[in-house]
Amino acid sequence: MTRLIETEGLSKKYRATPALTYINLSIEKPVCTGLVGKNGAGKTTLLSILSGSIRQSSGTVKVLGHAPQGSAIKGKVSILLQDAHFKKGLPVISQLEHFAQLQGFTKQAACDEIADLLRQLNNADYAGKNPEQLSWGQRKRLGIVQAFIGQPELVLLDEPTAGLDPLAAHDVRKFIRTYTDKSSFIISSHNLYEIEDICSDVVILDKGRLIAYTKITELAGKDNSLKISLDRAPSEELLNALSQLPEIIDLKTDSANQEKITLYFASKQADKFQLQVQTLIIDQGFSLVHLHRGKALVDGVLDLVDAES
Amino acid sequence: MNWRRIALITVFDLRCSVLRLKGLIFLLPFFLFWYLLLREFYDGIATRIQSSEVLMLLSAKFDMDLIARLLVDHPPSLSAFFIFGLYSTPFFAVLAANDSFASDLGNGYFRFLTARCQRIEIFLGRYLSTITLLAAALSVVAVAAGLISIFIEGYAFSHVLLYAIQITSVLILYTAPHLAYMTIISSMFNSAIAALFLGMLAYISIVFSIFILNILFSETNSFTYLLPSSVKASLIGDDGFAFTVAITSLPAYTLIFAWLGWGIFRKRNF
Repeated sequence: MTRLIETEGLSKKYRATPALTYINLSIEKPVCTGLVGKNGAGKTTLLSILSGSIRQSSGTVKVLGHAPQGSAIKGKVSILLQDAHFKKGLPVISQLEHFAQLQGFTKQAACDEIADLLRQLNNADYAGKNPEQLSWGQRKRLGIVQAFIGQPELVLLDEPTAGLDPLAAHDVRKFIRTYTDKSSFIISSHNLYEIEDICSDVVILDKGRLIAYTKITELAGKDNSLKISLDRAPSEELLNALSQLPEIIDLKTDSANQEKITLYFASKQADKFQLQVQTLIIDQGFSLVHLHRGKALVDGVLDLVDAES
Repeated sequence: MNWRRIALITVFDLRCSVLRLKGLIFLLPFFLFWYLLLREFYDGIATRIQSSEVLMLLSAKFDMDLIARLLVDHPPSLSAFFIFGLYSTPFFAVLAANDSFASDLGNGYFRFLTARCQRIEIFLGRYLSTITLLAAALSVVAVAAGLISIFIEGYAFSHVLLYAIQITSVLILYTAPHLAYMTIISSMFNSAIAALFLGMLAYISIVFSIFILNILFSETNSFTYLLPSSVKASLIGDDGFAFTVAITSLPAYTLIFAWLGWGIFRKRNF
């Protein structure tokens, strides 16, 4: 079976500064993988190497079984990088049609493909303008359109919703989701809720090193914690009552958001325990604003990165 | 390598050159220069140049047969186009090709292309686009000079046509290595302005270095052959053998410079 991505000892240095250090990664398709890590973790560098935009300093990389620079994968892999810009002084739509033609579309088919993608992202009206006449968010959306031309086998997205307003970000996520059964994705994002929402797997990088490549469900355990938001900061009585429950292992409060509590517990009957906690809170005169069972991806990632450092 | 993609890149870049500052920075000075020069021929300067006094004056500096061939046997306006074309080529090549890669390396545009094309396709497409632009611009000037030769200077159409084709082809061939030289410069910088000024500075520095080296090692002129401008005299002259050697050396210069440019471009981080 052809692997989506396979790297062995992949390293990249910018002059003397290491950006990626000995990455061994093997991802099978079809999959939607999140790529997470702090600033400077090497996410954009990894995506750039996978797309053939930059070359590794050492090690091997194969994308869909081929070298990223090779002719065989051209048009099968697409990328949206944060610092790639359309040409100024030329309507974006004609640039998108040019990209489609480079992928093998005829002129007419290219026009139809772009029109179809624009329709799906509800932005056909401004694609005819020059990039300098568009807002950052509009250019970003059109950048996403270019990444979906010709339904590539692998789509690499670097912060696809960064800087977008919530509605636009929702549209983009919806747009990506409609393609997850047709293409494989690697999505880099600082928004871990977005990764958790869209992706099934996650690659975690820290300071250029691979910390983990795992299923999100494995990382974000569903039965060992309860995150609770109340209508106000909990009283001492409530905290004591919760602490005295026999299933409780640990109870954490958040000094920045005093109305939030995290309970870590061990119980074979998690549903029953959750109900018991809810009842206790309501009996103490508090209202539940939000309750989430299981560890969020962000906690899993932080735990791993902390453990590594 | 996919020739369809190369053709698409060439055509798209040509379109950008005509519509955007990238092309205008070359086209405006180029046509202004030729307009001012050809206007003199339109106003009848050819008759004055062909007067015996002027020819006598020029013969003190140049070979009389060559002057007669260029200014009397052939239409003077086309000959002027040829000679001034040869001398101005390095300057216009820098103007035309400074932004072959530089801006797009700086703004990340090539990242959109690398997912769709190989680097060699981008490199060749951009080079072909620049040479096509210069060839088209030179052809327009050749047509204008040809019209002046027919209607103002009174030369026969067939003569003008053959001579115009001959000198324009030579000029385009002479342009090729200069544009290839600019692929080196444009691959090194992320800004068109930097490529423009450093392209000119580097060229002037090389010419000056050759001049100094030729003085220091006066027994040999071989340093002259570091640049294609060394064959300029042979292209103008009437020595058939020297002309043939000169014309065949131009593709060799082009290949060497383009190979150096490609060496930088292929290793660049986009």
